[in-house]
Amino acid sequence: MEQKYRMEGKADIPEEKRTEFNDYILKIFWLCGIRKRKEAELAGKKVTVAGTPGPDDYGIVRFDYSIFERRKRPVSFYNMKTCELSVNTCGSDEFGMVMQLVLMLMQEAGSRDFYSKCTDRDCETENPWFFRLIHRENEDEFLEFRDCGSLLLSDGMKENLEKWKQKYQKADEAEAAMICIEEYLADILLDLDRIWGCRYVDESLVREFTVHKKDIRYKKALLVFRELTDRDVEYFPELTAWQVREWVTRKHYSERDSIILGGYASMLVNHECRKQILGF
Amino acid sequence: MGTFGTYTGKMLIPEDKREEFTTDILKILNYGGMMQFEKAVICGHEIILLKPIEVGQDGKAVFCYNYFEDNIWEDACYNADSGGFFSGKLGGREFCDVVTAVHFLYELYDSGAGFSQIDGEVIGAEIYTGWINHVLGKAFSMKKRFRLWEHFEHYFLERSNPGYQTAEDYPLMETIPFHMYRAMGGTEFSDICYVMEGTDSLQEKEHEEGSYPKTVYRCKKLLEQYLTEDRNNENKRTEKIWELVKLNRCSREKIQEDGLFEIAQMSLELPARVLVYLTAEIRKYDFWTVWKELYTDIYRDEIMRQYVSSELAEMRKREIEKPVPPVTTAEFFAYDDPLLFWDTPKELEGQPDYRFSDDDRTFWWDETGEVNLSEGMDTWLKNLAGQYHQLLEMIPKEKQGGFQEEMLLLLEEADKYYKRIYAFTDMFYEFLQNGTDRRYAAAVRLFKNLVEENKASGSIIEKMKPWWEITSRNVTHNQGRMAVKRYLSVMANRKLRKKYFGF
Repeated sequence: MEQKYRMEGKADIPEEKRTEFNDYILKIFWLCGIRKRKEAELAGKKVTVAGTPGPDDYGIVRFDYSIFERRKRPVSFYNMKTCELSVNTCGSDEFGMVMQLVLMLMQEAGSRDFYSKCTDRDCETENPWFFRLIHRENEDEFLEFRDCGSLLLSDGMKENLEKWKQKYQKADEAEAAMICIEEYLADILLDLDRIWGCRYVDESLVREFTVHKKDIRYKKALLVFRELTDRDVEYFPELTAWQVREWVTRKHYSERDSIILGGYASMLVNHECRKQILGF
Repeated sequence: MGTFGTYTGKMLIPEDKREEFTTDILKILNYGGMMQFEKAVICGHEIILLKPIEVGQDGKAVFCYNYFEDNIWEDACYNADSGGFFSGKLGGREFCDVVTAVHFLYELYDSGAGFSQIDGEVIGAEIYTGWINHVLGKAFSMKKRFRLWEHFEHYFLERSNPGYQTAEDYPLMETIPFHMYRAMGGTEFSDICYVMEGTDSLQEKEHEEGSYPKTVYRCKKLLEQYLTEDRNNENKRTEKIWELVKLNRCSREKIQEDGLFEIAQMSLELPARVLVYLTAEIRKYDFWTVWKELYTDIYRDEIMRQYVSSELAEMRKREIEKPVPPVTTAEFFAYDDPLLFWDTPKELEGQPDYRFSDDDRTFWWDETGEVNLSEGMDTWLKNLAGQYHQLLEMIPKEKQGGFQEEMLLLLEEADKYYKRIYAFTDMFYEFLQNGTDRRYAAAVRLFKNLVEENKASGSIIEKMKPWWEITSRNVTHNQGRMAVKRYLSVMANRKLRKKYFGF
């Protein structure tokens, strides 16, 4: 059982450097998968999505989720006015590792050399090594961040990208046209969480698909998504699709399956990646 | 406390299969490293010997030791007369795995349902069947496990170690190897799910015409109407359903009574269990309490519709019937468990971890290639053979005094120092009977050298914990001890001994 404790830190940042420092922290949060869980309403159903941590009117940044750890955590805070971090029970996995990293940076921020190191180029290089920090062998869980060609993907993920491309090309437009995007997407997102244990999708996915709810390309993309979540249905025709998801798939998926399926959502959110795979 | 294995079936091996089964089970035990002890008392020395499992005059084969694990567990026993098998505590390694394989063998031979279990958990892994296929040269599949409803029934009504689980606790997906789950689909799978989860998820609008959910839903609605429309006669009507499910097809076809007629018509294409679990759900009865009273007398003459495509039906059949690929003994005992090496002493840091391999199976070596000795083992044996021949040269060709006393003392010393070092029975008596033969004398001297030379690395055994099974394998199976142990094994295998040592 995880021990409950708080981690707190404060960086002594000169006022003229505070904005730059805060941007740096927010960028670390973003690149290292730290998010704030939010509730969105879709077709009358409540779904949880992952929002980008950002300051409220008082300069307080709230966060409670790591898209790599996929575990609900109590809300923690970063105060942009005082450069204080206050973390509730972060554990020592993906969420906790980022908090440790941020605390280290906050300590180092007292040094004279810190700001000369802290350029955008340095921030971008942090993401490439981060997958090793969180004990991953590849960047399969990083499809949201960069184009597919620049990521270190496993052979399995590459095969899946190709499979998604082909499924999208073969998707039945007539069937796609019948979809009500909001309801369809709501059901998929609920299943991703409840059945597959996937990470919460980025809030921008819900926003974008709702805006483009009449666009056939988005509908086809969701049709493919449903096909992926319903991979077992065709093997159990003596049950309904709902029953197959609940009684078969939910009891019989692997961690790898969750990652692959979560990867599809990440690909949809990353326009560069989506363009490469689905063509829009 | 401890780990126990069970076979939940009846262990009823048909008489005409008993001899074959006995041969098979002994071979599994043998190749799994199970051994029996024998004590020799000679000239005041008590020597513990090992021999492969054999059935005694009382028809029983009792054993408690596994040669690969080098550990002793509670007595297990195979009764060749009755075909029964019993075991006690098994530990969590080779002894346990071989007993579990024995339970799988019972599954394969037993015409009735039954599961192999460890500590009450159903074992679904096919590695046991794969190893059985390798050892016995057979092509068993996992198809028996796909008699889903029969096993479901057996689990709750017939198994030898009934627990307190309810229907929802049934480990349905664990009864089949993980990768085969897609072949489980069918009306039996669906009915098991409906018993476990209930039928609330059946909704009118959602079901395709002609689908199984639609058919079950329709039956449910008919039963609901029949059972609830007359509240004063609920019990009577329920009894009528219980009577209906015991009638043969001809009688069911003749039912004309209002309300019951349509249910009877549905019974012509649905198994009786569907009517029973739906009725039990509507009346809020426990399904198993009801089914226990009915299941031996129900009709089994329904003619079911085909609910799947022929392609899917063929895929299922193919998957279910395909033989499990053979698994070699080295693969069977290849544990990927860091606990095996828990608390390895610092003195052994930097040395590779001990891993089971065919080099530990020299006793079983023959020309078939079933045991593949490594290059390292081959080199070691050749090296030993070189030493052997040098020792042989040093022994005069005239008749010798016996080396028996020397051998007895060496065996005692080796067991005392290295722990759990035993000669094999046949080899032991062979050497005693050839007590003046210089070839055997040279082999004993070589053994003496090995016992001496390996003491430094073998001394790590002193770090053994109070229990063998929680001691690091790097300690119990240290290089020194394994060298001495393997030498005795080679000496016991006449073919292998002849190949390297020439006698």
